[in-house]
Amino acid sequence: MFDLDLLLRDATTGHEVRRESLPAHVAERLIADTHASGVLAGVLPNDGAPIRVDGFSLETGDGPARLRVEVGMGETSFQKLYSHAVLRDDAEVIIARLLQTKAIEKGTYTFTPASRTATSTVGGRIRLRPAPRRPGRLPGGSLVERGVREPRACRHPAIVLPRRQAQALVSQARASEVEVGASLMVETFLVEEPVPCRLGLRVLEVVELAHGTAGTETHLRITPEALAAVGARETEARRAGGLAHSHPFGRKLEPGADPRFLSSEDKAVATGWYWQPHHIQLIVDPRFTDPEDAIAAYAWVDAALVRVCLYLTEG
Amino acid sequence: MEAAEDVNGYVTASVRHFMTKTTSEADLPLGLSIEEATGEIARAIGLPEVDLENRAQRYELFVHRRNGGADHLNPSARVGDAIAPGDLVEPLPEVTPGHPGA
Repeated sequence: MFDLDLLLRDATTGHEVRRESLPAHVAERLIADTHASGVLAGVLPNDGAPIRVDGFSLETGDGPARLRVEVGMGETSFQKLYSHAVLRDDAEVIIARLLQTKAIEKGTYTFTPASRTATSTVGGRIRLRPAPRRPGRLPGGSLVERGVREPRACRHPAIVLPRRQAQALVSQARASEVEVGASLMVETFLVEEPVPCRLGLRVLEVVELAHGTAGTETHLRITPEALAAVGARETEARRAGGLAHSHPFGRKLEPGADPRFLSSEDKAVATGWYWQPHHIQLIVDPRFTDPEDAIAAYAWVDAALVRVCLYLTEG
Repeated sequence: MEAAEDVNGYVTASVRHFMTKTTSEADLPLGLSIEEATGEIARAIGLPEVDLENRAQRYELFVHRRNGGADHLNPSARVGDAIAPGDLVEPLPEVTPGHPGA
């Protein structure tokens, strides 16, 4: 039902260049986004009950292909239509991998989802009995009570980053010549104020990644042990909400270029593991001391990664 | 549901996705190495299988015991020796953000 390929075409000739399987987490991201959208719109109940996938289909015809996803809970269901552009970051990751392995040449490609043509020949030896998807309930919460003076009319999740946590990220980045990282422990909530996107998250703690985590000027290797240590600190109300890492190579870029971007590697991390609607990525430029200048934030908006604004709060 | 060790060579354990926390039940062949089981569990629960250089994505398998203990499992150990009925296992990745072009 969820098996899709990504079709790559040469942008100039339109010829098909490559057909690659889209990983399973792509469909899961769209399902999670559809569920969250249904809850935020007040159509789906916000009660933590298991969800159903009532539909997941590829619509082709005139123009680019689209994906229709329908999620149900109890007697109600909610559907959402995604353009092919929602797969932009997945396509970038796949193209980066094909370029790394020299499976394709450098060039300009277009992408579109397509029905899977090949079935996997890899037979699993474990017998898994999948549990129902259960995204959980969002407790209500006020942005104002969390230190936001004037909630803005943004279409993306409201991200509250207390200045103390922001300063900790900047200090960690500035203390090192190499890339460093931290896990963001967050609370998620249904925003009580009338803002366009009612998904809120507040960073409760910045956990510097240790346990063998090591960086170079252009890479960070986060060990499984470091993630295990983060997982041990999670509770129902305090979740791993994303990653922060530094990009200390700003001085080596062209004058004026901003190093606070998501590289293909960063997008592979975000699309592969940190794809839930409340997950964020923070990039820190250690050349700056003020969090306003040093930190850029990326969040999922309609299941696509978008650079977004933050609320830096005092106290 | 009470976990059990199967006479046909499986141990029943819970497997958890470390981000979504979705926990499913799985029968794991006793004779598999932890390394083999880790790859199959990761695939079964929809975790990325390859890295950006098309190498097998590296995961380590962590186990949470019914008595509250938690361990990292040796990849060369056998499932039958390392995982007990009712254990919860969780593959955790090596995550490598970065920017090769800088």
